Amino acid sequence: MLDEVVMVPDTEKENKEIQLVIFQLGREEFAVEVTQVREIIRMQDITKMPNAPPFVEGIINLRGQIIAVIDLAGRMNMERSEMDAETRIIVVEVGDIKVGMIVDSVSEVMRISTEDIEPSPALAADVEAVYIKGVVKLENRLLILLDLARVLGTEEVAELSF
Amino acid sequence: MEMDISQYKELFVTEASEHLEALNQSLLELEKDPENPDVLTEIFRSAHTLKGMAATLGFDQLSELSHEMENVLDGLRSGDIMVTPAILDLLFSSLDMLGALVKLIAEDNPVPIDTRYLISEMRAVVEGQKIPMDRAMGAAMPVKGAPKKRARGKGKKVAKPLPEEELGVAEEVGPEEGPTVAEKPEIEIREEREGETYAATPTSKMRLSEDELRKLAREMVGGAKPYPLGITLDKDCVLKSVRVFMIFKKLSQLGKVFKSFPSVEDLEDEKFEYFFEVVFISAEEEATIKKALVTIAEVESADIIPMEVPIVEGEEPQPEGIEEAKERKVEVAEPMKAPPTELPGMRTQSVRVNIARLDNLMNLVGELVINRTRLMEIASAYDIAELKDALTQTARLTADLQDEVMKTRMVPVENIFNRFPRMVRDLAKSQSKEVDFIIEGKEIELDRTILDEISDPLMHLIRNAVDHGIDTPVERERKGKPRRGVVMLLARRDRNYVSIEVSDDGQGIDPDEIFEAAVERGLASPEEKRVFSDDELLRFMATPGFTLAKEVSGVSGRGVGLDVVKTKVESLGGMLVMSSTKGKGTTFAMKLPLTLAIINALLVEVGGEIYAIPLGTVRETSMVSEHEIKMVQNQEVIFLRDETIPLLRLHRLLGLPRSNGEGTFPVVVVEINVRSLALAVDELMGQQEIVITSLDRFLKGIKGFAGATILGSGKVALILDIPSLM
Repeated sequence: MLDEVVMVPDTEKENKEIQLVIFQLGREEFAVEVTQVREIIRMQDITKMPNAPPFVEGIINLRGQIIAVIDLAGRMNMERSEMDAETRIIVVEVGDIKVGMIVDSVSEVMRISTEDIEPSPALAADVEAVYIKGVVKLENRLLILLDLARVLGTEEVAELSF
Repeated sequence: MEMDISQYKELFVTEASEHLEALNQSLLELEKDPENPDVLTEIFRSAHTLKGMAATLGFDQLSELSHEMENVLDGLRSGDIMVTPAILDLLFSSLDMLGALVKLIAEDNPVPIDTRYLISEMRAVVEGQKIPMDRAMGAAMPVKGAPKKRARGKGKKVAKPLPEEELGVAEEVGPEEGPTVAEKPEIEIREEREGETYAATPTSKMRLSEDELRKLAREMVGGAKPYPLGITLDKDCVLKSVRVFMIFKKLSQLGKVFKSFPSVEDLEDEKFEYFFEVVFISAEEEATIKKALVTIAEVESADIIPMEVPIVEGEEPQPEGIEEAKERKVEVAEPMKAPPTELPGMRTQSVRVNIARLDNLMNLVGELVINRTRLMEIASAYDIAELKDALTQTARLTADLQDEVMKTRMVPVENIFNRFPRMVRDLAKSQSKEVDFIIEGKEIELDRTILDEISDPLMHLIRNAVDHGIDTPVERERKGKPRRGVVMLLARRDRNYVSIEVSDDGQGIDPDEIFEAAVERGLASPEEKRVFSDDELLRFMATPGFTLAKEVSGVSGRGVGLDVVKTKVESLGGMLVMSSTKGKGTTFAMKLPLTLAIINALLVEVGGEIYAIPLGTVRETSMVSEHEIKMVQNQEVIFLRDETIPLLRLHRLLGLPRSNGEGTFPVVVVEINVRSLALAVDELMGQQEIVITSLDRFLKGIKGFAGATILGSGKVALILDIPSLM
């Protein structure tokens, strides 16, 4: 799992390559591991889910499967952007949970070496550190690698039932 | 020679449960008809199979207990032991114990169970000793370490409490347990005698065609030789397919299986006795192969057997292995005896399918139905005759498909009905009542999921019928009824639902008593007294905690748990109906939908979203104007005919924006438990068949919804679960 990958100490030269899906949310660039992404779809009609936690946007029909869609910005206490033609839903799967996350736009899939992932510093501006697994520094970019298990609260599912 | 038991555990538990159920039924039959040798044979066979299965997988306690049972049954069969109520009770107790053991296996629950008192009693019976009549009816007794259990059958021997680690090896009893040691050899001798039939070397039934022989010749490379092997499994071997699998696995490590007789498919389906043949190609020595095979558990022998090989006149050189085989061709004087015709492995053509597979299939069909609806919607916008034709055809096909898939999920109600005769017997016996239990329509089929769900409610109704419906024989005679009461369990198909009814010819329900109790509980006021319909009485009785405690035995009264039954039936989209005549008897009927996945629902619009309300809970719809709404104790109510019904505004319950509340709006009157509620909605969208999709774990904790469904438009609508909304 990624956990092990991220915490590789410098001494251990385990140079593994992973692929990341890069997306934008607010002013930040985020990344999730491609193996956790099932698909990326355009924004669509979302059925509201009353009584759900505020960050749960609702449910959609994903080719016959009904999945929840969350407002990722809301989940991470970030400001929400307006929805536009670039808005996407990234469908991720963690454990037995499949959830769509609304993001501002998806830019690319990138191959990086696990060596380049650094433990999360305090500098990740508006984002709650608890959801961050690490950062990837490129020439003039900073990618924030999300800890999806935390974002989706799979470790504390009880949270969702109020 | 290790083997992963867990893989077969599930299979074992399923099959063992089936055998236990069969045993239970046969024992009940035996109780009615002690002289019937067929029933005994049946029982004996089930016990024997069970023992074999348990032994195969190393469930020692289970196999030991069923072994003792088998001995008793053998005695009954031979006439050495008489069928007496005490013996039957002992067998029933052992059966319960077996059930408990299987359950523990299923749950991977390492609670030690003491089976020794049962075992020693059965041994006592076999040894011709009478069993004491005061014997405690042995239910399953987890021993939790400390308490001591007396082995009553045999003098004053005390079985020691089982230490934890002794679970499953209870067979290793100390030397002071004389009978075990003494009996062992005798049993083994007997079994050997039985095994004789199969020990004779059989002739080969395998025939190779010329083509196959040529093919075989081509396989002879690198010193490989063909071995015609005859493999005999232990006679007690159950789960034969498992053995076959292991044998083939072993063989494939040593060489290549060229052909088998019967075919591999038949072997896997256990369509063979205890003997099968393979032509095996290997470079290994005969001894190596034999040794590898016989080390597999329950492989009795593996031998090179003579095979009739037609002489191949061909350009290809005759491989020497075949020559060898040919040379060995000997006519065996004594052919294998005909196998018993009825084999447990040779049932009707069917396959076991994981229920999850069927669920998936049903989901896919559900999607297909949705897409069909959608296509129809699209087609209606265009007037193309060909498209319409094609779609009509598609519609018919999907309907057929849906029907077929639904049928595969259907199982006869027999599956759960069969467990009730025993329950009724035990219950009646414990209350000194005489009850004839009649079952009708057990071939009627219901969706597997629904059937599982109604098992408990049904048990409740039947128990109520015996407990509170049927009087004691004396009381019945006093009332001019036959001593024996009748409890009837009936299933029948009624167009689109199945009705399951439990009726008794007992005391019936006294409306006055129900009313009094209702008044006592504040469900009605004394002034309301009038003639109540059965439906209304049931409503009272199905209130949580409703009881007529003073009436029956001071412990519990009729109505206990009826709320649970009613709620369960309704949650399945069905309904509970009661009819009763005082002094004559009572009937409860559960009307259940044939299948769960597709239900009828009323679609409503609230705050711009569409919601589905299961039609089962909907009583009626109506239009209401704002000015008709009155306030009673801070609660909005409406008046419908003579009834005062609380009004709930759905948008409020759901936290949705308020719709233009002026003027008139539709309400849906639903019935929850005993209460009617009017739900204010923005619009009624009509009735529709919907396919229920459950919400995944991520959303499960959210209250108010029973699931979701995909509408013809592709949009998702939530299915309301009204009780949890309030």
